[in-house]
Amino acid sequence: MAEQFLLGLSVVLQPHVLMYAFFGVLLGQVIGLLPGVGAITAISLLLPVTFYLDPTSSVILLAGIYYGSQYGGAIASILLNLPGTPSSVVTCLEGYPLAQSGRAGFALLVTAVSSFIGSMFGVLIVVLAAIPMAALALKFGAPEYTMLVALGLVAASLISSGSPIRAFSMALVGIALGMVGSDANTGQYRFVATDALADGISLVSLAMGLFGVSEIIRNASNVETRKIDVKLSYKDLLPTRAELRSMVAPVGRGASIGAFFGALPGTGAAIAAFMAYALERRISRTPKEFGKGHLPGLCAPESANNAAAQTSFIPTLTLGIPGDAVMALIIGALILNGIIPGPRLIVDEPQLFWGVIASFFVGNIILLIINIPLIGLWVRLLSIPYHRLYPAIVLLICVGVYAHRSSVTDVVLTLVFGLLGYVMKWFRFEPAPVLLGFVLGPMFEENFRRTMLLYSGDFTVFLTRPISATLVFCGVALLAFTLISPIVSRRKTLKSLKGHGGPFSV
Amino acid sequence: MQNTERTDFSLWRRIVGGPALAAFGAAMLAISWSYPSGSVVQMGPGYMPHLVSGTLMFFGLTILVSDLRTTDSFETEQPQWRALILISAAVIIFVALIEPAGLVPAMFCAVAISKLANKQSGPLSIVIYSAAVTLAGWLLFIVALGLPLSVFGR
Repeated sequence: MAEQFLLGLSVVLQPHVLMYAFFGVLLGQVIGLLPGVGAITAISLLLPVTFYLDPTSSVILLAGIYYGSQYGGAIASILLNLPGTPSSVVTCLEGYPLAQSGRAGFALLVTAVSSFIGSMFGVLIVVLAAIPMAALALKFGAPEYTMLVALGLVAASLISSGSPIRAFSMALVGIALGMVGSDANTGQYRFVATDALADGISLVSLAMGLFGVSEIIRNASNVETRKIDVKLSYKDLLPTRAELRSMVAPVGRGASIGAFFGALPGTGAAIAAFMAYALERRISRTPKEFGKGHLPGLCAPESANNAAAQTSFIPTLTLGIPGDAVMALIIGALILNGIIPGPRLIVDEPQLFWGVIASFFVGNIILLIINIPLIGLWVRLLSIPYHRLYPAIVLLICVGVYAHRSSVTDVVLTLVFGLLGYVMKWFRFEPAPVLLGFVLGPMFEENFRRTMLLYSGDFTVFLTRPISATLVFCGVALLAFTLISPIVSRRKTLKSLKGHGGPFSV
Repeated sequence: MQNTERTDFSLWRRIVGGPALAAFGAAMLAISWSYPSGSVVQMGPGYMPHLVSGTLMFFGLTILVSDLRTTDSFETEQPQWRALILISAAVIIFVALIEPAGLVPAMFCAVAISKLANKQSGPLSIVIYSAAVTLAGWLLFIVALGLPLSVFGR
């Protein structure tokens, strides 16, 4: 394992690859700290560009944006009480009060270091899990893939912030959109309204519409009121020994929770952060301290969301199954570059596989280095008003989508999906499951049809094969868990958090 | 930053959401009606579309029922009609101009129109801003990335 990791390092430390890693995390940091621009938008913007890069650099760049945004997200939360990313919503709860009490610099330092430790733990888990997971994945046949994809869709719906049935409906809408184009088995065209749709709906236009265009419409008319009323003092920047001791266990717990929820298909960084916060509050001996700048409540979720951001690459890289909407885009980038993600990746493309993993290690070190000394720069970036930003994003979306396939139909579709993504929230539908369903749908259909063909329509095959049966069991257990218990109390936590404001999409 | 406020989940929003989903499913079923569904063993191209559209119609109605019963308050946003119309117009102008007129005019018009979505921008600042962003776009897309797009016309 160490040997492979070194191979990965040798790939990343090539100057041009290192440059993309640096550029990725830097962009992620900036995207994360600007409220109203998310990692999904940034990654879908760069998706067409990666067409011109080699696959390894592409994935390193896009992945860097994702985990970099986890660092940046905390800055807006702490200084403005506005979460820059959904996974930093809980960071507002403790970070903002801490900043108001004059310890903004301290809060930023704590979150950066917690994020770094969480990430490194996540990377360690990825390195340890990669080979066994890929070996296990080679035993996967069509029934296992069918059940794994189904589990991902069910888990994403059950552990969402809203109603499971709404989330599942949106995943189905995504599956429906994924059917457009020619049927993989028979070649018959399905839902092809114009010739431009013969190759299917482009992932780029779906993602940019649902997340990019809809966010712009939502925020474009804002008259700026946000002002940084927190003074950055470097007084008591360093934690006292007692404070340091109070943070060790929460960071460890946060990292473990994050690593678990990140690796589980269907859940991701935002859920991990919520879970870590809820756990800290439940086991705390001083629950009344929460909401007033309590350190365990600040560092546990930060450690959790970063660990989750790393481990979410486990199913993506070893199985080729994306766990959330961001991973769906990473899979999309691999496919665009002619690489088929799946268990063969580690054997066929070791340079790419281990290069990407080693880039997490290098990228997090870069992030730690750029976070603390450059804090003044990040604060200045935070004060760029949104109305100076969004027309440029409109432009990037239009040109990005058009350049991808030189198709005006794609640009029109982006607008249609943008309006859909904007309007659906009026009716309490979330856009994230649509994107997940869009990518997972074709995988589900293909493997389900193959299973039924191979086992002559016998549904018991899903229960007689051990791995598949385990996956079915996980799904049923998750369903039972959601229906019965602690989720009720979690819903309450989420509700109280929702009142806190901020973008609640992924 | 966010134009959200806490209001009741208003009646028309409760009535429209579920049926809209069901209508999507119904339209999907109508289009895919002619696709052969085959058997479980030998699924045709219509099998999954029929399954998914049926489930969507069922869920749409389920959501309608549960929405009518709910008393939850819910964070809703004020519809941003100005932004919705102007951003749409910007994208449509881009689509209309990109092939006949080329990248630079399309970029300039799209930026200028989308800038109008925010009331804070005056006419002069829009022109200066749009010119600057167009220049940056030209540098990024044509000079740096070398995208095969025509700059002016065909």
